[in-house]
Amino acid sequence: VGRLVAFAALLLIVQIILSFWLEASFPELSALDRHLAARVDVIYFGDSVLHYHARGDRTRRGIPELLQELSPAYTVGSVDHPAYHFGLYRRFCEYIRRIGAAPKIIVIPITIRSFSAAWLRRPEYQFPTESIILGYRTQHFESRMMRAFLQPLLVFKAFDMRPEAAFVERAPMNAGNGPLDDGADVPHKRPEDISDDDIMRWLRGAYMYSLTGAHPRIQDMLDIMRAFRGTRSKLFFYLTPIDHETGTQLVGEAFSQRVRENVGLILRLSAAHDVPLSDLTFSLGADAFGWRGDGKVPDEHLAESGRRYVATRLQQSLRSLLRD
Amino acid sequence: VLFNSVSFLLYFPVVTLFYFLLPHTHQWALLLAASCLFYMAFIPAYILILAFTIVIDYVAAILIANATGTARKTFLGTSILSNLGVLFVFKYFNFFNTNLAAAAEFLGWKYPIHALEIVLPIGLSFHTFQAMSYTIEVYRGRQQPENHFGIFALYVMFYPQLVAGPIERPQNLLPQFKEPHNFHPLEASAGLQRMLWGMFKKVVIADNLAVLVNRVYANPQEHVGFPLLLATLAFTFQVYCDFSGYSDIAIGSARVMGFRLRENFDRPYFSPSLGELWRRWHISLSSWFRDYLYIPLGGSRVSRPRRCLNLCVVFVVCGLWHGANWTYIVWGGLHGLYLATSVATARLRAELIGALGLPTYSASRTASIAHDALCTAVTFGFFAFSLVIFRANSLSDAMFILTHMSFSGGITYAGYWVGWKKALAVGFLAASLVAVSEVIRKNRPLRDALLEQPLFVRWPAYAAAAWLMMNYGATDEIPFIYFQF
Repeated sequence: VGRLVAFAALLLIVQIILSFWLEASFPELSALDRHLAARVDVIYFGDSVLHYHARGDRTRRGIPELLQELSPAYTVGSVDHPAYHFGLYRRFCEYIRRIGAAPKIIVIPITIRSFSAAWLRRPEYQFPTESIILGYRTQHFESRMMRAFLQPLLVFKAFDMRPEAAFVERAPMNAGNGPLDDGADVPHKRPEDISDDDIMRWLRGAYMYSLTGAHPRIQDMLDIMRAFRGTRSKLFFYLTPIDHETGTQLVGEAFSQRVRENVGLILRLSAAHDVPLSDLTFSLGADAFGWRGDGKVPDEHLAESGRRYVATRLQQSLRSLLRD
Repeated sequence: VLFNSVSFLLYFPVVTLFYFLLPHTHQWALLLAASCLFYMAFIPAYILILAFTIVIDYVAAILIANATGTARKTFLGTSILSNLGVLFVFKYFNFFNTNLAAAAEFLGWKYPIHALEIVLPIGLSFHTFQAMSYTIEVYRGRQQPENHFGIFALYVMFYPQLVAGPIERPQNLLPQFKEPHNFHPLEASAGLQRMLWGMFKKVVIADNLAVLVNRVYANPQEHVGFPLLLATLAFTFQVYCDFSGYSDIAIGSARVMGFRLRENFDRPYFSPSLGELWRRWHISLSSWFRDYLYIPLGGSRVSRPRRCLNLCVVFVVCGLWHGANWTYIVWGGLHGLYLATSVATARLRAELIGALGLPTYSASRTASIAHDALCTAVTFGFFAFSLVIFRANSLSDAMFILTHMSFSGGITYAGYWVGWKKALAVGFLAASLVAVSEVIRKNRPLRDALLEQPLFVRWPAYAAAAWLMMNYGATDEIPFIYFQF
């Protein structure tokens, strides 16, 4: 027993000492910490659209790198991960506020599909560990003991990380005239077996819900806007381009109409909070997207021309913002 | 119910402490209560299923022992049917019902039976098989019926091995509940070391590799080429480390309290043949099937075609034991077919080797090493290949993976590996460590080798394993794979 206690004490000491260098973290948080320490001008959050590259692209550089090329006058640091959404962005923003960092601009792309039921309900899109770490870092940043033992506590399941059912259920998800189809998520078929009907069902589920202010992700967006009101950091949102040509071709005019209604809500909310927002939703044709080469269904992943377009539009918007 | 949880790390020492504080006459009661509580952490009402099995088998064994002639068979049959009935209702009913409904639809018939809306009790197949082995052993006259109901109930639901084995035999476990167990530092130390090793395999290797495996196998059609191959290789290590890790924790935690459970794995991936692999993989299950199904069917003392048929039957049943899905049945059938083919062609292969003048196994040391290495690689390759079917959600998914995996390609965008890289690196590096340790130890447990080392080697080794676990373990909640069986 004495040896066991001695061993436990040894482990405890090692853990506390090493936690000065190692603590519960994840690559995106480490990237954010690096950017903030380097005092980059623009923190650019995002999902997989930022660093996707399509087959046949001449460059594999993502939008943040292309933006940096176009804008040598200021520094850009990206913090992105596939399927990130406003829930995560809110936690990152709270963390930035908590530690008193003040990047000149925080860019947040809004992928309109991230409000869909599929995005909201997919288990791998919940990011429970990341949410706990960010929440802890926001609330107990100085606590050395918590820093030392957060990771072991996460490993040994000390936190309930199951998605909150009530949160998912209260998301008002319907297709206007009724609940969404079951096939709203990516069809689990081989790419060659996916029919136009499958894609239509996917498009309806992914984009044709009826978005309201009660949606939890909209609430997250509002929280971010409130958090940065009157601070030195400016927020900048933009709506990620979608393949509206394919959508309209397969579903009809109703597709664009519904998307416009959903986009309209976001535009109104950002205008009400004086947050600049660039609407790129309908700005690109079908050729600018990469899904036909390696995807299964239309999504927002951009080919090189699309990435360059977004980087250019961003550069123009940020230039005027920085000038202000 | 998770071993790698704070709840268990608190539960286990508390139970163990009280276990040693109590007099021997009351220790069984504490263990039984602790086992009930442990099981009820899942779905409390399911304790009634266990109670049903326990009562039936307790009574059946006493009746078998006191009966003569056909009555013995009747009591045994009743016990087995009851056990299998519970298994069928909770595990297989919906599978058979769905397939019958599909067949009826195909034939244009009406099919009125609806699916049952039930959750599969964890570890159902394990404790059912353990209970069945008791009544069969009593029937065979190798085991006296247990008159103490509490001790028998504890035999079925001893919490370290309740939900995923090792599947114990009454001759080994029952007498241990009657022996006094005092705290023994060396036993406790050995048990804790074993638990640490098991947790390391589960938390650092299996759970880290699961990050990739789960994502790829959830929707394989979203991946092509190399990721499919890598995920399959990762699953080969994941399933071994997950299950052998669980067994290590079960054996270790029982040992802390003074119990010796059966070994469940013996370096299976270094087996030179599939038959050998099955003697070293999930030993408590494969020996169960050998003793209670393969040998009663005639074993190897029957004609060669009959033996081949027996092998196929046993492995199809073994596949079905794992789960109610065609993937498990095909997986089992494939193993049976492989073994049957090797039995059927044994003579032909020996003649062919002679005719071609190839060096035989015993020709020289080099030839035997080369032969062993080649056989081991082929066996491992086959096993890994078969695990695609085992892990896939459906046969069509399995076919997709098998036909689309390759050594290159499939990385569709730059951020593809984001979120996987660290987990994969840690998982594969640690798996290599386990592989190396298994090569080194050969027939000698790693712990014995480590015990011979001085304190300044042993403690840093233990501390490193614990530290890696605490800081590089996966944080996702990934249940033990075999819990679902």
